Amino acid sequence: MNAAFDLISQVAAVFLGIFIEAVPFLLLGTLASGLVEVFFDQEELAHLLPRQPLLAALTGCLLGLFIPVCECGVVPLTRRLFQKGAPTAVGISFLLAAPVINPVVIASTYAAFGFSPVFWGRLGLTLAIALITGLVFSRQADVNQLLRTPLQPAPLVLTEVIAPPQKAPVAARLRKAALIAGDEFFEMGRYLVIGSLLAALLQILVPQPVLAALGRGPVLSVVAMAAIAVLLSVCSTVDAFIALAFVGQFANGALLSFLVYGPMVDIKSVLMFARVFRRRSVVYLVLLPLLLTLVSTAVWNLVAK
Amino acid sequence: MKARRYRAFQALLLALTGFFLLERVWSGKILLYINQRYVLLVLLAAVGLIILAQVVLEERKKEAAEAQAPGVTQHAGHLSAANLAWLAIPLLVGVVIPARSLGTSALAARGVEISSPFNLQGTSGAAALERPATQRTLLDWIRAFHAASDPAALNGEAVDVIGFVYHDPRLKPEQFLIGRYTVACCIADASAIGISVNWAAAAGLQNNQWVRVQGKLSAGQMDGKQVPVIDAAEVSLITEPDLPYLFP
Repeated sequence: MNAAFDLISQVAAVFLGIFIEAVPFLLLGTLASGLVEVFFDQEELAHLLPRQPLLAALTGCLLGLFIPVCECGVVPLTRRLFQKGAPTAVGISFLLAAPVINPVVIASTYAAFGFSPVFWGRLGLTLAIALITGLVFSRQADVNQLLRTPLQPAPLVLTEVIAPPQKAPVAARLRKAALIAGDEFFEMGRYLVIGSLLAALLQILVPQPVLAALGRGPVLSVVAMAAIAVLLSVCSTVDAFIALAFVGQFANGALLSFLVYGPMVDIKSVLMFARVFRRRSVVYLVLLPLLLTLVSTAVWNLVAK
Repeated sequence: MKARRYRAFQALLLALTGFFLLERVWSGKILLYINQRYVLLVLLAAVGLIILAQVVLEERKKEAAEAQAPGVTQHAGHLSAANLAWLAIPLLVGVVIPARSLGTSALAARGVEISSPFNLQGTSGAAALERPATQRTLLDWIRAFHAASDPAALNGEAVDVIGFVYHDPRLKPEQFLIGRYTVACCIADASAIGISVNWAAAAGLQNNQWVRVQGKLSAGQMDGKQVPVIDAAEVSLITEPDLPYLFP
């Protein structure tokens, strides 16, 4: 009885830990989404963003430098960009790269690792994988084929502003942005809740030392670290510090697998993907970066030795 | 669900979540969940949620006024009540299940680190030693030990630390591990650190009991690695501190 209660309180604590830590970042992401909605109109954005696939993917990769969001906030923002007519490659590359290629995460990775091979490897591999995945997705030019629900100008708010947003006063636009944030917070927050619960349960059921013990050797270790990344579901803003705990036990390639794949895909982000994208797209979004991460970091391990 | 009712519950949940976070920050219990570095962020988010609740309430009034117009009925359509229900879960969990720190039973899933992994991060070993010896935590000692070029450099230093008791299977009967959890971000990443303690009456201590250990530091071996060891002069039982976790 006591043991059961102990287990429940552990799961509850880890669940609330992940949830509370993620709430500010989810809120930031939905607010950013609301602001993009009310301050950019479709033509403006279409002019700003390149259509040519390679340029589009590159733009998506680097967009996070100007719109800093981590993996909780990036999903609603990506959908908003698609609604505003952003090309496929921009959105997908942004979705995968932004949680790492942004000022906050670059700074925290530097704080943890300095200008070491791990630092450059994380940035480089993230950019490369986001770029390649964006290019693969860009073969599907019609964004509607990727998304679960076809796009409407602003499907999440109850009432449409009658005047075009540009003409509304700033205060009214901010109110609308807040309203969008309020709606998306619940829409995405649901998956944050489910994801944090699952992660908390899995943490208790699948002990990390078991995974770490399984993952010896240059190839198995990168698999183990990618699994730990998915399992832990920690925010990309701090995962560099967590990776530090594995220095010494794991080679650099395995650390990179953790640092590159974790921000792209974890339990809560997969659930949010599933809300926004069709099942086929979700499978590609999960597997393509996984394969690319495993292959590149395993090669890193073999070559660096 | 009718739009009006949806808006009402949405505002309520936003406000409750905001106030729940405020309460946790106010009571200090927030530090049972996350690193102190992020408390300000949570505070801002709490205020943001309460402001959003206000905006949603005003929107509800506006929509209600518009709905008075003849022939207009509003349904929230895609805004599902299920979304609201899910966001009530963290509130329920937070209110119903008392906040407690991770105990030694969680060690099975996490393992305990005896050779410091944190040597690269945050304060260096030298900085840890600038603090007066009585204020140094377990983490400070482990960092300092691993930062020292000669493991014997700290031999004989007076140690006075607190932590929980853990009977690590790798230890001898007259030894126990004094441990703390470190939390870098939220407690999903909690990892245990520990120093083994030589204490003749070690077997009499229960796992998870918080203790204060006073003694002298020396260098020892564990799993073939150089690790710090405390030769205890005194071990006293204490209650768990309000801040059970260390924030590296």
